[in-house]
Amino acid sequence: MMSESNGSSRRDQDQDQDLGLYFLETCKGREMKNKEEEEDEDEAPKELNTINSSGGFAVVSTDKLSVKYTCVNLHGHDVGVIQANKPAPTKRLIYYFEIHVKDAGVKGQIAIGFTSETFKMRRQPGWEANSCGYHGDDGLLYRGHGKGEAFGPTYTSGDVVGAGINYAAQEFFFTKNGQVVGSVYKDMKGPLFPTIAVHSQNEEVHVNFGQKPFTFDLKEFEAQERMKQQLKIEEISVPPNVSYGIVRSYLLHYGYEDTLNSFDVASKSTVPPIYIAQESGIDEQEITYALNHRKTLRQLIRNGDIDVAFGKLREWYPPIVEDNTSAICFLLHCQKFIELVRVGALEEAVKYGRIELSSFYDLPVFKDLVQDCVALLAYERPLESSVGYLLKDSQREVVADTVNAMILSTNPNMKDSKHCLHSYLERLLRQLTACCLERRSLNGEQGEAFHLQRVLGSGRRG
Amino acid sequence: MDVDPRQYEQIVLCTGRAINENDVHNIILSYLIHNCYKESSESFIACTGMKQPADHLENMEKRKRILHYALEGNALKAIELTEQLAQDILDKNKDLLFDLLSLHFVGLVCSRKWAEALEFAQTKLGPFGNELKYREKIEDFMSLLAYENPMESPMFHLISLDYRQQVADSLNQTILSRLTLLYSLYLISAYFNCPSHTAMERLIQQTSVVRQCLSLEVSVLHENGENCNFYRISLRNFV
Repeated sequence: MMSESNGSSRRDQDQDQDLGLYFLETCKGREMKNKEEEEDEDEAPKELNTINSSGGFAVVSTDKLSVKYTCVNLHGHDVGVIQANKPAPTKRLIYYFEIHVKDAGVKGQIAIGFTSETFKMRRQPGWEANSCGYHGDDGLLYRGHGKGEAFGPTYTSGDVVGAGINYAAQEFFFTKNGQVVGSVYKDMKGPLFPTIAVHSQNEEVHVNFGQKPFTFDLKEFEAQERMKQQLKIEEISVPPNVSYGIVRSYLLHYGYEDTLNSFDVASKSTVPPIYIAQESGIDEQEITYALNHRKTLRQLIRNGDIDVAFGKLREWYPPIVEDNTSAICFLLHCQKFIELVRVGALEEAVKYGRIELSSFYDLPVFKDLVQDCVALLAYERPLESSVGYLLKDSQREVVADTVNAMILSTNPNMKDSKHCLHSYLERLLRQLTACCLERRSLNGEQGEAFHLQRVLGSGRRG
Repeated sequence: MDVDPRQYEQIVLCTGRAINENDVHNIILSYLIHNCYKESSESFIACTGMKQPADHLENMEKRKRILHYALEGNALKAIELTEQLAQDILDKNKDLLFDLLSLHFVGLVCSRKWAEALEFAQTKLGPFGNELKYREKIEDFMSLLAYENPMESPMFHLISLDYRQQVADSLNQTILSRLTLLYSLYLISAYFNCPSHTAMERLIQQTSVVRQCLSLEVSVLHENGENCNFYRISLRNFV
């Protein structure tokens, strides 16, 4: 017959399983590289599209990077317009490309800009809806109708003209010979194709999609764009007790008791004094729980003393290690195995693995880590192998963090078990990431994602 | 897009980068070093196994003293010690030098040493007057002399602790960047080369700004009748 305590302990165990499993997942997470930037680069245009271009008026070179107008027709529907082979990639701050006007021909009616997929391929970019073009003969900007607006200088043979999309500002911008000419709001949605056009006899244009260095200093422009955002950000005042609170709660959460003690002593005499107002909103009660135990266990695990750690857990928090098939026990056993490999006691490791790890092989959640652990035995220099990450101190940290979270979860006053997983700092970082992604999503999925390194390195003064 | 807090973890993992614990450790450490928590920095480094040359901590005591002097308003002492620590640092940062000198001026005004204040202004601040940006600042400071009680002047904020704190922060940051350069701590420099705040503050600021942008966007969407579920959480609720 199931008593109430049995039922609740099963529920607790399910919750505990969740907590332990979470850290298991982060093991794998650490190994993932930043795929998004690689994919974005893969999707960038590299050459001109010869398949859909207007027939007969212009000739594209064999390397698909230049175009020449060969006819004498100057009819408004006989434009030699070419799009890039792919639309501008969007998961970055700015997209940019350039043309070099080799020959302005008879009339210099060259254009550069962006067009949509369904653009009428016999018209200048900007003359039709959903297109935008900066024209060399009159220096006007055309945005969807036959009448252009004053924009910049004309351009001709020898000039290098660039067109870009600034996803942060949602603008098109154009450059001439390395200088920004101007920018306009981008109200075109959907994939945008870099587009160039020639329209009088002998006009010839070479395009640069990044295969060569640009005349325009794009990196500097990007840096300035980021700096603009950064300055806006720096205007926000942050009361000192907020960052103080986050740091203190970090130390509390992860059980850095010694550091915390030094911190508290030093904080009493800071100049000016930090007033810990109630409204900082940080609930320290939850994370002060079992501080000394957590500190001890973190130290033990950091030193690789898994046996002693196990012993302490059995003594202080038996429910955590009761179920030998729980994620936390699994992680501890794996770490013991890893520690044996670290000191070169391979025979003992094999024996230990047979006794304690074999039962985990069949469970899909644990299989990956077990396989990686066992794979360590296959290498003469395991540290240099693909599973070498297990031998690093960072793996000990994962186990230490898991134990830490499990102990916090035994706090009867813990309001939400999810609070055991992260300190406020990580929650702040995650919120920031989520908000940036959400903002990008509202921007039509255009722009960069959040990169912590970039934020931490931002505001760099030259 | 429904932003359920539980999705945050998935979001982070999908972008291919779990939050790197090294970054997190460095955020904490940069806060401790920035605010001159010497023992805490050492303890944290020991507890986390971070790599950190001792040199940076050695200068912390000196930096702490310099900042204390600046906060007390003893700007001349702060300048003297700063130059001992890194000789050309104030030569290369004229804005900062001006701010420190102005602190001394303010001190003289508050001690009612009018004549001395005037002389100091003419000899030390005056030379900066060749540049427009300093000229305006000089005028602001001189206006303090016009009042029997400087607190009544419209520029009273220049006498405040807040202003001293601002100058001290700027001094702190300048010294930190300079020391970092001297010791070629490439890894750490990313965290220290910021104008006025530690990484921690910048993260909090960023989050606030992005949230504000989102709130704005969402309210526009609502106005346009578009459907958008977004939890509007204030930083307070979050933290």
